[in-house]
Amino acid sequence: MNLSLVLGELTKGFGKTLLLFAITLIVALPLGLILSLGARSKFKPLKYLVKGLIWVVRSTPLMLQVLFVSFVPFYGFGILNKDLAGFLGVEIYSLTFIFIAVAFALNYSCYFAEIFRGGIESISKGQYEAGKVLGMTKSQIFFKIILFQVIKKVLAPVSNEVITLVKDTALASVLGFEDLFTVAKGLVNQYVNLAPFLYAALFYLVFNGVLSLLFGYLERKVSYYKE
Amino acid sequence: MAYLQITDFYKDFGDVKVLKGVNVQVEKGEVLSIIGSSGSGKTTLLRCINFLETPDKGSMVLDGQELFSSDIEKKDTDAELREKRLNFGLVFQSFNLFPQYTVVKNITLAPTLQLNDKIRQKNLELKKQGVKFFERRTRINEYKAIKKQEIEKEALSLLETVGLTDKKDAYPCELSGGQCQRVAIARALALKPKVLCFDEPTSALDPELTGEVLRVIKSLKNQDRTMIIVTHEMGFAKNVSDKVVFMSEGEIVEYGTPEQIFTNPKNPTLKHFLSTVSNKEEA
Ligand SMILES: Nc1ncnc2c1ncn2[C@@H]1O[C@H](COP(=O)(O)OP(=O)(O)O)[C@@H](O)[C@H]1O
Ligand SMILES: [Mg+2]
Repeated sequence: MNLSLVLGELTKGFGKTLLLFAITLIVALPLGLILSLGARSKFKPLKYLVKGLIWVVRSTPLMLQVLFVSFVPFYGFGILNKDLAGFLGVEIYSLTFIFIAVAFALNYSCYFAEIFRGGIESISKGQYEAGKVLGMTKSQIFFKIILFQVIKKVLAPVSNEVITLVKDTALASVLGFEDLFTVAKGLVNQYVNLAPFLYAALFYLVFNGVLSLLFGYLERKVSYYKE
Repeated sequence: MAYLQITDFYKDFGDVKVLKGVNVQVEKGEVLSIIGSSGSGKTTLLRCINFLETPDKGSMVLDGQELFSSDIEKKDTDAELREKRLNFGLVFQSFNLFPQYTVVKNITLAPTLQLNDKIRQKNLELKKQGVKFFERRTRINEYKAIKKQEIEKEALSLLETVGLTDKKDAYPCELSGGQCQRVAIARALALKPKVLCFDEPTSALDPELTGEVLRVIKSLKNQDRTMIIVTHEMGFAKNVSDKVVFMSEGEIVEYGTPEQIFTNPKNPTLKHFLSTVSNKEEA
């Protein structure tokens, strides 16, 4: 077993893992905020639609959701993946990644939505009313008064989710996406040696360590005031 | 007609009739205190005046302008509602300061947001007049800098009024309840309301901290501000008010000068109320 070759392969896999991680967060954080507002909407159909979506997504395994999303084009609309890839102008391989990213982003936005909803609901009515009597618009009240207080409240649970996400990326292997875990598994089979798993674990460990430090920094940053 | 004329306010919450035909008038520069036992509808009345609740029936005229009338079918737009709200200020029992902002930012936030709106409008106007981008930006930046300074200066002078100049960069969590309430008063004043309302401004405070807040409110009376104060501090109400109303079960039962209300009460419910609060004070 050639160590530098193995580490090179694992690093490539880690790059894919990182890509999935980043895209999931970039989509799921804002989408989660929008869903959390939808779940609080006064417009009942929207509210129940969003709540239903959140319920379904949180009640089923992420791995199933990944498979489900990949089946939708053909079984839902009778479109072959080959044709869909051609239509989108991407390789079949990238299409797989798109399926995975869609499922991950949807899944995580629902978890974030629940966290944000809890955070928003923990802000006292008095904060909104103080903004109102000062003549602020609804969006000014949300963005200038409420949002920051919510961010402070949700930072800890969001950091938990983010660390879970790092580990969940391994589920992408179900569609054969060559993330860190899938690459490690391949190497273990190829060399009949468990060491690649150990190296992969180190990658996850170090990455999550960096994230923990980052969130610790952010939490200290917003703890300049108490309620 | 009085400066502020509230006519026949009715408000239900489901089956609970909270306001049952309330009439209030306040002259310019006058201080009106509202007393009454808890649950009599005092907070609801203040919330209706500040457009936080909509009365089911009634009308309100301020300074000759009809701000609310249940006879008018048309609902106010959000912008109209905000404009109307700005005639009034409201100081809450629980302060409701913005915890993430310093004292001075709490005061300047709303005026600054208003300024930003104004600047956006001004920019559009200049654009319509055909002023070029760079010229526009220079003029707007100049205007913004001047106005921002004015807002800041006004905030500092308000902090002086409430005696908290040295706390301008503190966060609300670093202040005592009494100091928080004084910031809340300054914050409300920064928008130059025509009528400033207080909802039991000292009820959430330790007894030794009520004095500093009441002194600030009293100093505002000397500046001829029009104020409506809901309070349980009878001594203060007697001392600071021009007029007092006594509310009971959603109605105004007695209205008069502090002497009439406190020394010469006529209504039996008011007499009973006064005897219970003075008993409480002795206890
Ligand atoms: N939003 C509301 N929904 C239902 N009932 C309310 C609401 N606000 C006030 N009430 C009821 O209205 C009555 C008067 O309340 P309030 O105006 O707060 O009285 P006060 O300030 O004099 O103590 C109380 O019985 C209270 O329970
Ligand atoms: Mg009350």
